[in-house]
Amino acid sequence: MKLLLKKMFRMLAGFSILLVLQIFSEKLLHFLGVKFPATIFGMIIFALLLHFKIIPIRLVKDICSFMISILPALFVPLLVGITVYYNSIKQNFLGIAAVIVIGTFITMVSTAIFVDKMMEWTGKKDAS
Amino acid sequence: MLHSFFVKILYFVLTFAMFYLAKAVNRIKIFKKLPPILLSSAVIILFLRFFNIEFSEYNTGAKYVTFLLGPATIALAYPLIKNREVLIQNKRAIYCGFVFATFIAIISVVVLGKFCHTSLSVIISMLPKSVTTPIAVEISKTTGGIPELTACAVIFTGIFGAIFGRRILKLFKVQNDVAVGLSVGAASHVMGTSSLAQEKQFKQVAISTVALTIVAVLTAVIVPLLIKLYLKFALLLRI
Repeated sequence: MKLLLKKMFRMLAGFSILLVLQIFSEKLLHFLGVKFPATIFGMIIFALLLHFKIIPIRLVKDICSFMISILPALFVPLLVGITVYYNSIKQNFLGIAAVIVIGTFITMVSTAIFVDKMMEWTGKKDAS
Repeated sequence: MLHSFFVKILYFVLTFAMFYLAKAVNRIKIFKKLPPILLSSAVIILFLRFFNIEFSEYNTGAKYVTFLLGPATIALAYPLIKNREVLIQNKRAIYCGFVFATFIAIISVVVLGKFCHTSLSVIISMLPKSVTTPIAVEISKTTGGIPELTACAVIFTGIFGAIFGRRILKLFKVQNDVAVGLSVGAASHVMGTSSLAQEKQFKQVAISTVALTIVAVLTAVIVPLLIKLYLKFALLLRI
């Protein structure tokens, strides 16, 4: 029971940290007038805070794993929202499909071969 | 007042309930290939059609689900920090790989989009397609794309990468863990990464998480710059 309460507390504290970071980065970017995705900015700040141990990792471990585990569910409303744009997609359907399938294929295969060759090339120097 | 509050909660809960239901269905053998996100979205779309509910009405509650994407993206810093040693080993190949993947992803969208005569706003919306949804949507918003189209492109990119990624790479005889993880993470973000996690390839997952984060940051920096350059260039040409 005590363990569960502790975990609940950690989850709540962690979630507040994430929320505060998001609001902070949004407000800061807005204040500075920089057009940069606020969530990425928040993520970079969070990574730095974790790296320099300003926020202890064990405090946010549970909430981070939980948030990442529910991540796919959070896309659902956006995917449902695509029905509103049904007509503009229908017009460009072939192009969109081609870009997604061929583009992803090219990106993945060329990157994999590039990194593979790169590692053979530099492998001797920084092999683990 | 009270009524609308309950309706909001209903749509919020409905979204998660459908997702977990789809996840449960996903465990049955025949449906293993069906991504839960596709199934749950399809069921919700049918539900809205059946009861004649407008999307904007559904979104009064569902927008809180979308709002959670912010904290969830920030939470991605955790696997990044946990796997930071991976970044130090093989650093040259990895960093060049990030930059290479980012540019190839952007160039392939522009070239293929132009080739298929899609409109400019559609191309702009698809530019961040290899980046995880919350970030892609943010990029799309700041550059004047259609966020819903971006979300759709990102999700289908992810599904493609998750289902075919490892098979395609096997076909091209790429076996190196770093190369597989990096390319799947860079090309098909969280969904590709989760497919690696299902195969229990944890070294690939680590690299993949790092790749999707770094590629997202790079794309967020490069895409707005490219669009600004393009617009200036187009203006010059017209004069």
